[in-house]
Amino acid sequence: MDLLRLDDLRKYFPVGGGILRKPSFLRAVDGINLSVTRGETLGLVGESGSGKSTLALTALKLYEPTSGRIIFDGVDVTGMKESEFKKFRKKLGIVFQDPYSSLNPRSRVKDIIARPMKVHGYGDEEIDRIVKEVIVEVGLSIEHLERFPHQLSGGQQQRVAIARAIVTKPDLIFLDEPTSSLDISVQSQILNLLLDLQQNYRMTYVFITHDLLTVRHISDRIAVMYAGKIMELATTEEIFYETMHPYTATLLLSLPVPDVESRVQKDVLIKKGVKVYGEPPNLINPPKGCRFHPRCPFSIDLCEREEPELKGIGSHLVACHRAGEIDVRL
Amino acid sequence: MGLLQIKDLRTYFFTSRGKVRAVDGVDLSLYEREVLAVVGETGCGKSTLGLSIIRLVPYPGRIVGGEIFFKGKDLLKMDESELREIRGKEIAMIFQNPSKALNPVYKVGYQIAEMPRYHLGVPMKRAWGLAVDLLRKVKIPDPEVKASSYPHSLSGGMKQRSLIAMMISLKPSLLIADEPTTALDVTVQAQIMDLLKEIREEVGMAVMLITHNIGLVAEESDRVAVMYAGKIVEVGATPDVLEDPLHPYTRGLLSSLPSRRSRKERLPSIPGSVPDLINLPSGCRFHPRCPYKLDICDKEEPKLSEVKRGHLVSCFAVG
Repeated sequence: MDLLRLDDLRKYFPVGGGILRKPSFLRAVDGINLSVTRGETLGLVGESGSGKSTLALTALKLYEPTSGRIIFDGVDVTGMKESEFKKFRKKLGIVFQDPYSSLNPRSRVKDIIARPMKVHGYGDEEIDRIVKEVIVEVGLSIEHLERFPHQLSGGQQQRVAIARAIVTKPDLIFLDEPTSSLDISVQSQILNLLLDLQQNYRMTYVFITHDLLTVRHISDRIAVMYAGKIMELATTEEIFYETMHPYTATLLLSLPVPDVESRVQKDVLIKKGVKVYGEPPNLINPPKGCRFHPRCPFSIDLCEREEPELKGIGSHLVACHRAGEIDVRL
Repeated sequence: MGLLQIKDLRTYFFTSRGKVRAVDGVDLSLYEREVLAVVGETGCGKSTLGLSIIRLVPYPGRIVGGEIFFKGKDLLKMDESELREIRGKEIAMIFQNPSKALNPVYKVGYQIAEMPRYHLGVPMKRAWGLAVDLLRKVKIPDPEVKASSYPHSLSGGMKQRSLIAMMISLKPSLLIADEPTTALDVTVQAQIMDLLKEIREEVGMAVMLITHNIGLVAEESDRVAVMYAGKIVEVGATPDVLEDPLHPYTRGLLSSLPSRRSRKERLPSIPGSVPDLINLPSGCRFHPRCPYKLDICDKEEPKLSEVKRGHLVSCFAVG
């Protein structure tokens, strides 16, 4: 059974507007259907403004969804009151991109880590024991518990944020660009930590990033988002090596790669007609039809008129009128 | 003879906590028309190195020693009026955050037109025309309209394009690009890098590309210098360094990158973190994190020396 299911989830933000003027809407998340299976890591890839962070915050009910349904562990939690939803919160965690701004600068590390347990009514002794266990588990030591966030490096701060996210032993953690603000040598340490924790606790991850190399490393499946929609959803292998959506191919072509082998593969994409041009659209007035059509070298009349549905054979889903007809594989 | 020769450059920041040795004895050459990547992690001094070359190190930083020869003349011995002739005209620089580099209250065209007006005394009307041409050259749609708009109405990619237009207006022989695409989306980054390549070939300028992105280094540069804690630890032709890294730091950095083969496996990682530039380790600055540490490493500082042709490394355990 799916641990989390999102049905046609939407989150619109009002922009402008006033007493006499109706606001326009920024459609950050615009009709997302997505399931997360227990134990997997689902990568959510997209450029800035694609709605990937809003999707996470809406799925966690930190934003009230505009419409659609959120089904967690078989229970529809969409309209649930916060008091009732609290017991589900315990099962959910989130880690943000910038560890420093996500940690209270006036709290000591031990209080930061203890906070979710206090909220969920753990006893003092239990809290004390778990805090000491968890700090070691994330690769820090007991001494770090007395420190304040500013006394830690970026990597150490992110370890504290991860510790806080796992103390209530959640089933599902949203990781919103957890390594993007870190240096390369620290990134690999944090990725290793996340893999270890997942194995030890059988946690499910939704890993949000714009970095394709990281997402390929950590994910079982990947959803590619563009302008508030999912463009392609498949296993990691399929996304990278059986690519079907032109936008995914554009991302692969844009990605600077360190190794010669991958660079040679890029020439294949260019020969197949994949091109990079234009910029992500404005989400207040997104393009009609397929949102990617103004930047798509394979666009036809139909793409300008009709919005393609996310559909496919088996597990490989793609939202493109020309899927199957065009070849954009590496 | 290179275009730029840096010898034993030292730039320190004198803070209340102590002396931050951001650039601490850097030797580096840059040849005409080449792309030299300077790669390193946060706080390794790569941005300070770039700012030192155009003599724009912010307070409380100061260049405390060394020489920077540009076309045979030492930039560190020039006075402000001589430097003004160099900055923009001979050496130009673009930064990570294009919004901060543009003045929000002047039209984009006006800011670009300042370059030929100021340096060449071109009258406003003609300079404006040049600005529009430059915007067209950097592939901004509707250049006439965009020249008359203010920076806030442009996207990040368009702002970076406008800055590139400004920087190439006087055909400098060196462009220092400090993380020029870090703030941009990957599809926009690819377009900006392509644009830079095209323009570099046309203008015939050399580029110092300061970045932390190994992918960009691999795809864009001819040579690469790896910086760690204020020093260059390895420099050589890009394919040589990336395919056969010699310094333990470079090796650690490259092997910690996720690859297709590494999927779902633990990545090798460099233990510890980057040192504090106020309290640097004795001897080789990398020794506390180095798996190949020898007895000598915490006592003496290794010198950058040629191990293979054109491939220099500063490590006692190599060569």
